[in-house]
Amino acid sequence: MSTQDTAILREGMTEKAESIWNHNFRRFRKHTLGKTGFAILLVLYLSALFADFLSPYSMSWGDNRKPYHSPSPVSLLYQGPDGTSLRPYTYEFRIDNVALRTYAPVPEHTIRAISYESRLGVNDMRVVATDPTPARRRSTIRTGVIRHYRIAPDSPDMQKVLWALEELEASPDPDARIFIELDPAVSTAGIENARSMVLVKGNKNFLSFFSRGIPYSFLGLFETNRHFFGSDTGGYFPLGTDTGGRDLFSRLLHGSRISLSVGLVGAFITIIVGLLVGGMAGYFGGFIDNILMRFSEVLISIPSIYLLFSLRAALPTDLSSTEVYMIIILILSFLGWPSVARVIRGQVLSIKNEDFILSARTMGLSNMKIIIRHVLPSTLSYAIIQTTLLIPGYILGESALSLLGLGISEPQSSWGLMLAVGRNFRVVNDFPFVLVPGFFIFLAILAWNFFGDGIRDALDPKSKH
Amino acid sequence: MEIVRKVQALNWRFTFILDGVFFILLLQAGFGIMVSLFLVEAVFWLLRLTWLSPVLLRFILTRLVHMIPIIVSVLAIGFLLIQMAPGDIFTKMLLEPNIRPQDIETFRRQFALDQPWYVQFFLYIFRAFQGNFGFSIQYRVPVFTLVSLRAWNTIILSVTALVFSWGLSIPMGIIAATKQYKWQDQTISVFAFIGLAIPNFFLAFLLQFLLTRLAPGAWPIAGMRSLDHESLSAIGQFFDIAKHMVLPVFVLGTSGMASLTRIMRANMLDILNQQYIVTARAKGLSDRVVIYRHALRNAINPMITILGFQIAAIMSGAALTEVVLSWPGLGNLILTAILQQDLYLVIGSLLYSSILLVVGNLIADILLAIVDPRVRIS
Amino acid sequence: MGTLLDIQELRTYFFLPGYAVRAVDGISFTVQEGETLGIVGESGCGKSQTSMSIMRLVPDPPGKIIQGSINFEGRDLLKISEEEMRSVRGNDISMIFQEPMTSLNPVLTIGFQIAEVLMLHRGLSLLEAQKEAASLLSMVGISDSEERLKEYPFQLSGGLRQRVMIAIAMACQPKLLIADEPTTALDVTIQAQILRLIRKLQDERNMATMFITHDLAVIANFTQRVIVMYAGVIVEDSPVLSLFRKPLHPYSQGLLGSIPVLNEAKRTDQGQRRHLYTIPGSLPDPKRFPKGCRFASRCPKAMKQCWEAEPELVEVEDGRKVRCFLYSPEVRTNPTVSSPEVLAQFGGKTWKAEVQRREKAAKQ
Repeated sequence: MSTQDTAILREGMTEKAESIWNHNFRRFRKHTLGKTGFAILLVLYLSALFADFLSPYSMSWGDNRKPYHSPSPVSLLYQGPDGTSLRPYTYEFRIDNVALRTYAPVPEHTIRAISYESRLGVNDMRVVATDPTPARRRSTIRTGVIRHYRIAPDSPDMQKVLWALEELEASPDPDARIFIELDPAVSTAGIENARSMVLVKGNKNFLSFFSRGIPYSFLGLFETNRHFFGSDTGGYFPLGTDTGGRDLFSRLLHGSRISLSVGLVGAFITIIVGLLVGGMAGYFGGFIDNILMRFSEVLISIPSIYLLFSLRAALPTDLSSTEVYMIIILILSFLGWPSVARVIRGQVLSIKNEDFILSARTMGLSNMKIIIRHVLPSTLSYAIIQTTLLIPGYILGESALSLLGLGISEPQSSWGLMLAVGRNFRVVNDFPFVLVPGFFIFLAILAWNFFGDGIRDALDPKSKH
Repeated sequence: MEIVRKVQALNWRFTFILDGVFFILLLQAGFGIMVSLFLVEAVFWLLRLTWLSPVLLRFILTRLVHMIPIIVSVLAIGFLLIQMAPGDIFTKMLLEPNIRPQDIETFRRQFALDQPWYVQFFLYIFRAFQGNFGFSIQYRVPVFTLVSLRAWNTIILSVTALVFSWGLSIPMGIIAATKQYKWQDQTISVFAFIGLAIPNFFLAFLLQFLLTRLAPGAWPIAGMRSLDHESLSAIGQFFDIAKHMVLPVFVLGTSGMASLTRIMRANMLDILNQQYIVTARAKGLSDRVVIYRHALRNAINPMITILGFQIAAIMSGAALTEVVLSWPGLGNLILTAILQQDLYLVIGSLLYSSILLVVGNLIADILLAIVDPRVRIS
Repeated sequence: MGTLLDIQELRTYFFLPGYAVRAVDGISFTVQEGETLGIVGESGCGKSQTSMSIMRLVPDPPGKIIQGSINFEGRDLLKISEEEMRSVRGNDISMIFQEPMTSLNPVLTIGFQIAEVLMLHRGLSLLEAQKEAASLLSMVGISDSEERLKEYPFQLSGGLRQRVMIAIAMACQPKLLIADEPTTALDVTIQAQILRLIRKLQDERNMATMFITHDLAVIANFTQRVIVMYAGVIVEDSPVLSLFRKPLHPYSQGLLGSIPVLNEAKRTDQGQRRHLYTIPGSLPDPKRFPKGCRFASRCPKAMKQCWEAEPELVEVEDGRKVRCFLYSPEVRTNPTVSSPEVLAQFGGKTWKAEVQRREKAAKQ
């Protein structure tokens, strides 16, 4: 025995015996690639969870006066009347040339009126008065406010607004803002909606954390209209907008919920089905084994995209979004289980002749119980490895379906769906930022590949470490 | 059609029970047909005992026979999918103003769509074996003609992408293995990871964008033929198609190339640690001979076993790439068929793609037998 | 008979992150023309790396021959170019390995693998080389050599494969054959055949052979001279008969004492139970060799200066060299002994405990 061998043996004997999970976890920790993947996935999935908090807007709200607005350029230092300060801002843009769809900042004398709703489901108001004449500006604002809030021109709220407007016009600060609290409205169901609005002068949108925006329900717990970052006065699009003026960043985050969860839920179903099928095939052998394996052989003989499309085609096209979501997950799992089942079956075949299975049988346990309680746990690590390899394919499959119009559709958001516009290369040429969701699909797949590598090296007893 | 009438008579008597039973039998049709494999294998086993034939021929025949149940099962699945879809293929036609409802009824009767499932299924199988796979509604042509035409385009795209990915990944894998951990290896590994993760439609969009920005009009970014294709000479037409093929082949080949390079590298590294490499060096052979004659020959064998999986992956990838880059192939066809609910066309494309895949696997296995003496002689 | 191979102060180290393994740490010996030399030692003592160094096949990262000269036929093999070295390999110096299973390329015919050397070094065409290969196969005792040429290694048994390896090694009439554990992986019955074949070929061609093995039976029956290696250095260099009759180095004594002998009396003359003597402890950690003699912690005859300095390899009797303070002139005249217990007869548990104690002490 060489020195190294004795040294290792001696070390092994002095350490306490550790559980197999601890052991595997330690192996995983050494794997930098796996850790990177895990970190990226953590960020992606957490931001999917908190999507409505993290996005400046909502999933479906769009300002249709701003189609294909490019990503807002942010200036960090603000030259105000009190000197330079650290107040990040972006300009409020509007369409300059309709044919070319280019944008230019609104004039500096613009007045805008923006409402804040505290309740979901209440539409917001954005009135932009760009006329050089103050009188015309006032009239635009007046009309807009009256129409939105349906209040009388002589009501106290309206007085507040007009008074604020005068103050604003008179203010020496070119970017002044005045917040106005209006009387809360009470809906027919007796629910109160606290209303407020802001009157903004100038052409700048200031960015802040916990900005006011479109109301949403935070994790289903409470309603709020505060978003993690954004502009109180709107007009800030971190990644630009799509054809309907919807903020791409917000849609990206909301879309990640679907695109990322499909992989996880599908993987969960695939593991279960694969374990059961593979377990039964390997354990019972004979006729059952043959049938199950032939069936999976047939499934594998069809190229996956074709099977994906055909299964989708066999089902009705007019389904609600939740139903489509479930169907996509089911179809993807249906494509994935054969490879898991095959691996599990191989493992079961080698395990089933071991002694501990024999003793379980002599104890009188039923076959199914033996399979579930004794055989399958030993195969769990292989199931996990195999399934982790399938997840990137699932993400890709969902994206492909949505891209082609067979998956998630409007007004929902999914990364694949957002990329559908990429097929119009004129749009892509003029507005390349619409391809960003593709980068995120790439990132998610890359992260899962790294993570899967790490898992495989940690759990596979045959890998050389 | 005696058998059809007899089966119809049965139905008239035992409607409720038989409907249920036959529905279940339909589901099991695919499995049931696979049982026939055992019978055929038994036949071949007997043949082997009594009739001496060349090993390879027997191998191919056995595999071909093995294929039949699979194909029939795929047919069964396809048929099942048709039945699952709401309405039938003529439902859409009802909306068209210039076709009379009576004509639609005639069509229905021609296609036996008014008959119960089992009749339809046997008819379907029967006709399928004769090469009649139904009729396309949107194109008004037999499915078989349409599919074979489009399939050819997919085949040339897939084969070229395969050659492309193999041609590049083998040398890259060798370089990465012989220069392990140096910068060549690191760069190649980075490219492999990226190539593996990037979705091919995204890559297609990106490349289209780059090409239009950098060299507008110089290189075609979509389709298979230019507008003036017909007016070109034969050589011109060939090059026209070749030019159009560059972008799809590149997009299609990258992910295959990425995984192949990684596997090739791993295989080479494994092999370069083997004892027989030391023996080869001890004979005084140069590094180059050792790598290309001794190491490579061994590294290739496990790669060929992957060829089968790769063919499946390429065909899948091809479907997406075709749609995104407007390449008129099988994938494109099945998509438009789905969007138009042209179900016989969907099933025909499904079947054809499956046949291509199975045949591709067979070719890969034959290749393996040719290349690896251990497989050949056992 | 002249000197064929003259190795001086060869050092081959393996450089790993943070430390270096001194696999071959300063060895010098010669091989005469036609001589059969045996190199013996436990696994990890550096004997295989010595032969790899001679062939310059040490895997370059992480290994490197950092010092020494290997004079072969007037040239220093460590100084010639790689191209020149390639013409030596397989041609003037050949090597056969331990594992016939894995030493032959599984996807090439054995005929081709033999013909390869002939085409390379003799410039023969494929046809000529294959004819020659057939006669080589018969020379190593394989019948039906014409048909066998087309076979693949997996179709042959272990013994036959090793014969093929020998045929490949002999093809270009080398002057030196290095056999690295050629029979360890073979059945006992086959071992004798292979060894006898090598000896026959040696006699016919006046070829020198280096047998590297840990099997003392091979050493006893087939070699003329033996080099005993321990932890990267030579501890004894002696003709084979003298070694077996009277081993000088305590390690050699331990090795030879551990050969089981049939019919030996179950009890010694003193009536004590005769145990099978194995040398307790193991090779020192190659990353950190102790200051003194490397065998000291396991040596029943260790003296105080054994822990302080490494002994040199000195010629003791006619043609015998040993690396041990027991044989240096100063010690013989003025021995300093560490403690009386050390010189007692050891066997069984007490000595083992002593070794463990020494090794633990060395770790601090």
